[in-house]
Amino acid sequence: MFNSIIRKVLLTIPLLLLVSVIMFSVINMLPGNAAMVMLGDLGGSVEQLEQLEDKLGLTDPLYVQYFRWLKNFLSGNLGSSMLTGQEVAKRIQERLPVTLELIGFSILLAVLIGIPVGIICAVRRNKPIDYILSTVSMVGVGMPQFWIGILFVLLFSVKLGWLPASGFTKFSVDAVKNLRVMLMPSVTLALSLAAPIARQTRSAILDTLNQDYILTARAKGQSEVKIYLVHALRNALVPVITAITSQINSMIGGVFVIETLFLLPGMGKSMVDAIFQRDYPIVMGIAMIVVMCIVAINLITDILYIFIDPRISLGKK
Amino acid sequence: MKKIKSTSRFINSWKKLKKRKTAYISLLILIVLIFVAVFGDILYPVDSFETDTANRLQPPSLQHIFGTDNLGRDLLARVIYGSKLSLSISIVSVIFALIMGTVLGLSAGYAGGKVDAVLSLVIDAICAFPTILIGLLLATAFGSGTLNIMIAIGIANTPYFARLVRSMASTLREREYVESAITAGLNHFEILTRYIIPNMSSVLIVQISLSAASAIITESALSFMGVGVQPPAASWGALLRDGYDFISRAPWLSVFPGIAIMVTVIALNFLGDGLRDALDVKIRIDG
Repeated sequence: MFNSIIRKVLLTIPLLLLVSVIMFSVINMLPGNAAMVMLGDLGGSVEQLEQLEDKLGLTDPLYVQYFRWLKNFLSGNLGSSMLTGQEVAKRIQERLPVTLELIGFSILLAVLIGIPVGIICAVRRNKPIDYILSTVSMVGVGMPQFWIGILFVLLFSVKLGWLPASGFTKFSVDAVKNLRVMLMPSVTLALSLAAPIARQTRSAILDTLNQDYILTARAKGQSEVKIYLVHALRNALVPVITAITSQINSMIGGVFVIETLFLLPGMGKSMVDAIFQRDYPIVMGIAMIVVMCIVAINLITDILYIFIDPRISLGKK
Repeated sequence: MKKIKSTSRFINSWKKLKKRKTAYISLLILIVLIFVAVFGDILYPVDSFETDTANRLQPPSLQHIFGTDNLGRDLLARVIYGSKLSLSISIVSVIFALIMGTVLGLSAGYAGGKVDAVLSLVIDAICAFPTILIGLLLATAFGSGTLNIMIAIGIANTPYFARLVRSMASTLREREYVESAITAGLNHFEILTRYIIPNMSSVLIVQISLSAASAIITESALSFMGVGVQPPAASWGALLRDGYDFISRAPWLSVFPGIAIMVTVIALNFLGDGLRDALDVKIRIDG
């Protein structure tokens, strides 16, 4: 057990190195380079461009540039934005809270929607309400996230005028305003997570209902409510956590789109803007942080599983 | 002998699929959608590029069933034109991912050992990126254009096929019939094409259908963020992006292209679920 945990942790090192190599290669495939962007508005001469490229080390072979980047990255230096000169670490520090708030709210909402729906479907299995909720979640999965967001804007901002479609305010500045702005993006992102959570809850509860201890509980005359909420739901927790972690990747993907749609100044919007502005240090920095978070979350889940169920170990999948 | 067997299996699966109403209706819807995408110009002979500034942002009416956009272009014609792009991008990118993923997955799963370790690491590394991010980066790197977006989405979907094929190949490799084929002196190519790949086909068919759905969603999200097919050509996602600027004056621009995406994606998902049952995936792998 201990060995397989260590092996899993060690395996993330070549994985992250490979990820950084892939990112570095892709970024160098992007048309145009840093010097061109910096000179862009000034429209400098060819000599100026070459001078600047030389100064930035862009004339060095790619692998030299990569190792320079890696050395800086490992010593905690993510570089600075080419357009504003702001340090990438500073930018991430500034933008991360917005994204974390969005993801945090979304997971909370998804759990608050998904688990009750899953319980209702399990209790009323194969009854109309079960079919209706299952169909609704199928339809929800078929709608692109950003389109759900657009429809929310259409309904709640344009038609009803209840919520703003953009205009982010920090929580520390004005909590009410912040929550009003964050509500639509969070619900949008939450809906796509709620569907798998509901599905997992439903099937996990149905699985446990056939167990002996449920029969015992019933025989003891415990109320149905207690049986569902205490015995069945507790056993449904692991699959629900699996549902959440398995969606982390696509959820972070959703953050890019949702932040762009609602103009939220988070990591996703920052990244999308940086890609269009060819601000490579920011693209590279944020991508690495995002991927490291995803890898870390997957690693933690894997390790938790090993603790929960020692039969699961590496290489025996 | 072999042919008769495969035909009966096909008919069997087809009968099962027909019994699942949602899957069967979804298949019919998809056939209609593809028919409309191919023959749209004949069925609805309105030029999707023709601007008409006198009729800008007209709400849906008998003359313009879906209304008109900010340049007075007929939205229905644009949605039909968009279906050509969205569907073909989805189909080509999935074929790309299928081929690349099968080659990668087969090499890893069938070869095993060090090849497997290295390829699995590469697959895991690509999987660590959110699909949208990889699509966004590659689409920007390759430059705009329909073919480039197809390849970008294809690469983003490749690791999912690769993982699936890898795990199936490593299981099938251990089967007795594969071992006896090795003993009988068949070479790797023959074993792969006669025993390994045919036994994967049902699982892959289901995956193709589900991946096609996710490719449509990815494409629309990328187009919405501004990479991908360039104007005046517009996929469904690009139509939604263009319409978002006029959301308060012309909400229909934000509705109809979205419905087109939703119907297609749901139909593909239902079809995928139906195929999973009809092809009885597990039994065939064991077969």
